[in-house]
Amino acid sequence: MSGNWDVLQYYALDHLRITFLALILGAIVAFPLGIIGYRWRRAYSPILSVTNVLYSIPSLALLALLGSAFGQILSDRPLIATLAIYTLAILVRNLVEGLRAVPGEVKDAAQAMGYTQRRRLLTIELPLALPAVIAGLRVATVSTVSLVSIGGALGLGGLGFLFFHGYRRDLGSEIWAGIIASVVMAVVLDLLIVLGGRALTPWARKRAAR
Amino acid sequence: MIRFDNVTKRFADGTNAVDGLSMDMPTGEITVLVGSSGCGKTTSLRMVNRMVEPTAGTITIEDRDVTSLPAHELRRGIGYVIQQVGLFPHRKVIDNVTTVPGLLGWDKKRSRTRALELLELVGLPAAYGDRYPAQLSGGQQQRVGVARALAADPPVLLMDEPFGAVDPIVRAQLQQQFLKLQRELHKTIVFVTHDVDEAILLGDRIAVLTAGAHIEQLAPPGELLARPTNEFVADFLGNDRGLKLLSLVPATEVPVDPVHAVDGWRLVTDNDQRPVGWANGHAGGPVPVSGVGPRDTARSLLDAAVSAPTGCAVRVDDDRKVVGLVRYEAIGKLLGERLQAAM
Repeated sequence: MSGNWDVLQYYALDHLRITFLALILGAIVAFPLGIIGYRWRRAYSPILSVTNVLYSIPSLALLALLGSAFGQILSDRPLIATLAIYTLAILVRNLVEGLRAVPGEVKDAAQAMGYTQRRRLLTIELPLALPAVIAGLRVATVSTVSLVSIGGALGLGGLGFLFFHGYRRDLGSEIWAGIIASVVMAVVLDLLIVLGGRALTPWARKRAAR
Repeated sequence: MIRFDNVTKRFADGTNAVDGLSMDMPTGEITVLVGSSGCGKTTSLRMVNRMVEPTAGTITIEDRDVTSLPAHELRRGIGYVIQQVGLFPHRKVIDNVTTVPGLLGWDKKRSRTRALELLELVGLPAAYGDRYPAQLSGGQQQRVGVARALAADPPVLLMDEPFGAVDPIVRAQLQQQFLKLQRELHKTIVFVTHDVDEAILLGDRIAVLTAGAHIEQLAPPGELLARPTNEFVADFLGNDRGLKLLSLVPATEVPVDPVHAVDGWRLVTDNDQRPVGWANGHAGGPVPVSGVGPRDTARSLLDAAVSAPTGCAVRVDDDRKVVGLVRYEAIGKLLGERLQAAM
């Protein structure tokens, strides 16, 4: 059994690694897209359309496409890229909506106090958009953890390997181990994000008696 | 002094929100822009700190064109208070107040000390500094808004219906506190409101505006009330211009008769010489009355007088002890004299 535990740990850590890389890459691309979509209204709709279309491409198809584009079928780079692309749809949207939800009078006051547009974005608008961004991040994280498994079709993708291997060898226990580990990972990451979000947004929980 | 020189603001649909506005707003005074919705008063206000850029004309502050420095630098020297307050929800009250000092690069200790001073000035306990805006009531939030506007001690303050979002009692308190503040600070203030009574209470000079920010009349409140230049201004001021004029006269300027009885009625007082009510021997005890003090207005005196069975108001001192009586005829006489003098 301890041998199995080591195997599980190996694949779980790999799964985690791929998840993080995909999320970080997705966030890095989503951030400028979000800022552009927020600042230039006319750009927002096309950006959203593109991310939505990408999102609708079936996962294995996109993986195959990127695999051939990268020219390296057996590395996990196409997988990470695919997963990152999928996070764009929600991350961009939540960033823009979060920024738009900042009350107009707050933006007005900030500008009137003498904030430059850049400083206002960084210190006023983005912090206030954080709750929406975090909500998007939670969804992106859980869905990425789940999607990493498709890499199992190519022998990559952490716990995905256990699903495909277990399926081929008809080893129910292997499949179950993979499922449970996957779910636990998603729940734990979600919890960590929630806690991190609370720590970053102390104002959101305070209310006055009216 | 803030000077508007033939300022026009044309919007994309071709309408002139502000059409060739020229006026001076004297240093150290409160100039009120009043008028109905859409007359361009807010647009005019927002051109002073370039939140709106004029299409034509110039605005100068102490002879310096507002376009002569970058907008964000200009704004750090102008206080801004708006109806919805616009406090930063993610920052504590004290950090909200230190916003502009922070932008100007003041050192933290100086900013903090200044913020605490201002919280006291606007009547908030220092402990509120550590709260978030959402934990404060509307009136308290606006006090923070005013403190924030004053933090860097700007010579100019722009206020756009700042007390409009609170209930009448809180509004009255805020107005009185604001007047007290201005007596100490002597800022150059441009104040926008659609409320005529607020304009009369707060303004040193009032500009009554119509569409395009056209000035119907620019005058101190007493003159406005006594001599409206046209029917529009007269209508805008309302049917009770005489009463409004009386609200500008302190109660202390009305002569008091040091008696305690009139026309068969007797003023009943308690052991501390405070007024209880009017009695004339009828059944059912004295008709209750309360006194009008030295900090009230001649208008309160008139209201008290016509409400009393004797036609007299009871004047009291700061301790609420009876000083004497004021007949409504005396108040009417005073009003007549004031109106004559204004003619």
